[in-house]
Amino acid sequence: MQFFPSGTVYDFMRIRRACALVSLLMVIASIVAIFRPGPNLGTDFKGGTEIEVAFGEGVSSDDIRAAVRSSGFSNPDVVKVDDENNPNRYLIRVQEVSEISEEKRTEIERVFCYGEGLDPAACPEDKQATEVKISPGGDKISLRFRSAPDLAEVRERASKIDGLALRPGDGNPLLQNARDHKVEVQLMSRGDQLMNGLRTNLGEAKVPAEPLRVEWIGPKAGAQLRDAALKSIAISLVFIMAYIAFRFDLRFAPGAVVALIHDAVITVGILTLMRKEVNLTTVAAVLTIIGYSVNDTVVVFDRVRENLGKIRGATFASLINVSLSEMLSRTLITSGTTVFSLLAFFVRGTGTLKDFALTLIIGLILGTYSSIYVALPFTEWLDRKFFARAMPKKRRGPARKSEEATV
Amino acid sequence: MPVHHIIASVFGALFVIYGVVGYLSRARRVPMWLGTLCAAAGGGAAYSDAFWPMLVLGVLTLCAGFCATRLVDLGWRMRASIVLSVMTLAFFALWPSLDRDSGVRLRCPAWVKDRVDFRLVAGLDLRGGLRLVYTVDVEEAIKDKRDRYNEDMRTSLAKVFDLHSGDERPTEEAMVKLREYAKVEAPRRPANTLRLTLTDKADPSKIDARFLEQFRSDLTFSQSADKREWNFRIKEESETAIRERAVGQAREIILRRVDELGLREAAVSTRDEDIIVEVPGQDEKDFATIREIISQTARLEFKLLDDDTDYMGEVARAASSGTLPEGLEFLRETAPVGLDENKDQINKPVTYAFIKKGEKETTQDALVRMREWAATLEPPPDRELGFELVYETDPDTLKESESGWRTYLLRSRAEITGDMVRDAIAQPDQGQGSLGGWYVGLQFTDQGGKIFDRITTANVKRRFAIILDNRVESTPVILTRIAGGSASITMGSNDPMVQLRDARKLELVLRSGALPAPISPSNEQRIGPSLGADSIRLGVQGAVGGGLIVLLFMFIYYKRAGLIADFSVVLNLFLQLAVLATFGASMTLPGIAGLALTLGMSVDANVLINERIREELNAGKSPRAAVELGYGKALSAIVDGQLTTLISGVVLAQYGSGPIKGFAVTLIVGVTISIFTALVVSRVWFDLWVRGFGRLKKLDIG
Repeated sequence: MQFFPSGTVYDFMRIRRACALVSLLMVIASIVAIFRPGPNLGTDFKGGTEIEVAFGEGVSSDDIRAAVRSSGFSNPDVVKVDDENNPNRYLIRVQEVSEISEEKRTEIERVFCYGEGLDPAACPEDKQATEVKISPGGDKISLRFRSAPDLAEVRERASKIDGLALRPGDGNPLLQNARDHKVEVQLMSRGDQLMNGLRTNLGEAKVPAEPLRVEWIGPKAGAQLRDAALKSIAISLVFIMAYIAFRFDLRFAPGAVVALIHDAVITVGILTLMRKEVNLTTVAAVLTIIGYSVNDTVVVFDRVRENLGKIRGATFASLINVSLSEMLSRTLITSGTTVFSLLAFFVRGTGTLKDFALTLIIGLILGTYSSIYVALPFTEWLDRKFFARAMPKKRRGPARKSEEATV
Repeated sequence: MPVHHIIASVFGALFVIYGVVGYLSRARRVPMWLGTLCAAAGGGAAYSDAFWPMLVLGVLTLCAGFCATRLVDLGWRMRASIVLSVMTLAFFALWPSLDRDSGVRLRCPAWVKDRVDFRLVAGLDLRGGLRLVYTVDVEEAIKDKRDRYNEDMRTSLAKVFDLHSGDERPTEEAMVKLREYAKVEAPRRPANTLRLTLTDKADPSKIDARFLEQFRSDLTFSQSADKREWNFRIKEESETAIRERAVGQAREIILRRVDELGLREAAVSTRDEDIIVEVPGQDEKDFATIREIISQTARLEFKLLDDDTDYMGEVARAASSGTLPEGLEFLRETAPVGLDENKDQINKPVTYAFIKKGEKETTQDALVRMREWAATLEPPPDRELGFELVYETDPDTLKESESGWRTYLLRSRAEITGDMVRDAIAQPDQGQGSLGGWYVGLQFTDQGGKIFDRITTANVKRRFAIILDNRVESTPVILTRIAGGSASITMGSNDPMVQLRDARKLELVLRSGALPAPISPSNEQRIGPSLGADSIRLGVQGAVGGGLIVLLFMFIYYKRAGLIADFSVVLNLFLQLAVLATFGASMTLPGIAGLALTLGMSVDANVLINERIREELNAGKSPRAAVELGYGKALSAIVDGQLTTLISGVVLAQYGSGPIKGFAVTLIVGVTISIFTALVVSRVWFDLWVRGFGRLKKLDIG
């Protein structure tokens, strides 16, 4: 069986101008979309708290949103998750993390009489804390006093602070060390608060005892993850470019890199326009797309390089046509089978898996398109515009042969 | 007869057969006699029950036999042997995992299971569980260290300005007086600097090279023109050391706690300043306990040993053998119990109980049994039992392993607690006659130093126990009275490497009580079990569905060549799983996606080859030449394509975390294997096809 009879040459380069225009427009549209409205960054990168809950019957996303708002969270994100087993499964995302802001920190210090220039009336010596430490995760405050503190009083003082929720239970606050009067106050996490809020607002019956999933990422960790992701993309780009320059010729490298930037940018652009979430998994997908796009491009380049030495007296453009036609079966079979196996994930999967498969499918289709209509036309254009005139007699290898071909 | 002895006799038989065939057939002599060597070595390995050497040598023996046949040519036979060996080894690596929880249900005999440790485990996202990320607050650790320097500097200044002398800490009055001369400030931010300001009363020339010498190793400094204002900053390499130590210490503590809870499947790993704890399972109460226990501060105590009372001796006499837990025995040792009138050490034999951990038992389970038994005893008033982990060294392999637990009779009163220890550091012993030895230098706070002085005075030549979180870690002997707030603990072993390891361990133990590495949760993920079960089902369905469609397509499109491609793709999957199993990697969703992707690339490599061969056939080449040329020409495209993917895989593994890393690892493994399967495995089939059974006239590729 054979889809494309061998020996047939298709004129790919004929429509290169139209394709260049389409690609350029798509890239510009994607860049615009990435800046405005901007990608829908996931909790991975933004920091925040995320829970997934399988609610009982008759809960709408508006109810949940209202419930979350009225329990003191701003700007909640409520998304329905498709799940056959749990028809009312929702993902709730809020910006708040169990972190304590600088103002709250000052307020806590004030309440526990920590610092200098205290009012002796409000802060008698035995109520002054000699140390106030707040854990970066915002889940506990540790205090040190001069003399044995009254734990009930400490609890009362802590609960007076607005927006600070103490974890219920007897052992809170806890006297950690009797010798130097160290006390630990445990605070409720945002996930607990969210569940409590939902329970009071929607009623016990509709809210399960436990969420399906709780996840929270501090803003610092989120920024770190984002930077690491960007860094890894940038570094792999540099390495891939260096590899192509080393294996082929310097003038092949820009074409491959333009093609893969084209793929990555448009993929992120499409995800942005679809309002899909961009998270760590997306980064993994985009990196795969980059790897795949380069693989695809390199395989075609390889054939062009080979034909440069074999076919003489043809223009570079017609040489590209021949090479692409020869590779057409392979290109389509490979992308076709890979897209096919990913389609299975896309159709059957849910949540993360579905989005991951979708991103890869978009990227693979773009990657196949770009190695035909972006990488090679760009290389040809570059060759015509710069190398042909600037360097009339090239020194070595494929470069010289292509020179002969264009003249 | 045990299984490995049967296998050893099979090796013996092969040895004889190969030897005879090699003797009779001159042409087969080289491979056959190499085969006898392998068989002899394999027999030895089988006899001493060394599984993997036995398997490798067995495979080599069979390969030697295969190479001695007349099939195709020697090059082909060697390549085919490599493929067969890899397949066999991979199968054994994967067998126990196939048996356990796959749909394949390939029964694996217990004999193999015991000898193959590799298991492919489902990741957290597939099984459900809890993932906790703690960040070590390095800034806090640096601040602690800076505060120590602050104190040291004040002491030095007090000496420089003649307000104080001697090794003792300066008095409070001296410190007050010091303020007339100099002020040391520790700003809140940055946490790594100290500011020293001299008043008009002080003579700036007092801050001379000798004064600075003490801090030069860890601090850099700059001064104002009149030398009255100094800025000290902790050196970068010292900060790095502090960071590493804080992270190592926090990891050690968390590991201990996770161990203590008996969570066999929990995994603790570190990445930069993060410590990641992954606990599979669904029990909400467990999770709460884990969170609570991990965030506790470590409890370090020093308690005196009571070696005068031979309490265990009494227990041993009273005990009837039937009531004792399995593996428990009473042993005797000689312990120092103070000095006699001539100031000589008195030795006294004491009994202790030792419980040997069972064959199939974890160390933690043995401790639980030990504690259960100990709870039935009634130690004398104000005494309690402490438990220490005992190691044993295998005399043959010199490998050390945990063998069980022993008891000590302790005085209940904790003389010294963690907050009285200022610092501890493992140091090389540079004294004479102790080449390469290590000891742990220990510094106490003022209060701790005074108490330690009192204890050591009263208990010379007695032992005390260092206890962390209720486990005895070390029982040094007090050699002499220790005043001045610093002590050193020498290691018992003769081997300097063991000494170094023990010293490092004790350093960690002491520091975790003294300088609790501040950790705080920075990320928490709880994956519900229903999500996990769904994910498994969908993931497997997706992979199987997609895979079958691709395999079917390849067969239809390329006919027999397609079958060869299918074989190498399926083998690729199989080898990938085997390699992942040997890594002990857990399968996560992104990992499965990476697997699917590399399978796609493996299909690509085969497509490239088949298309090439087809082109060569169209150009009128003979089947044999077409295969040769097809592989030759496809090589560069395959290698370039795979290598570029490998590059992004390596970068991802380097900089990625969690899910991305899992994805990257499968990508790297998959790409490497797909180069092997495409270029070697499928080639073996093609060569057999075109050259194996006489000359092939026509090659039909779809």
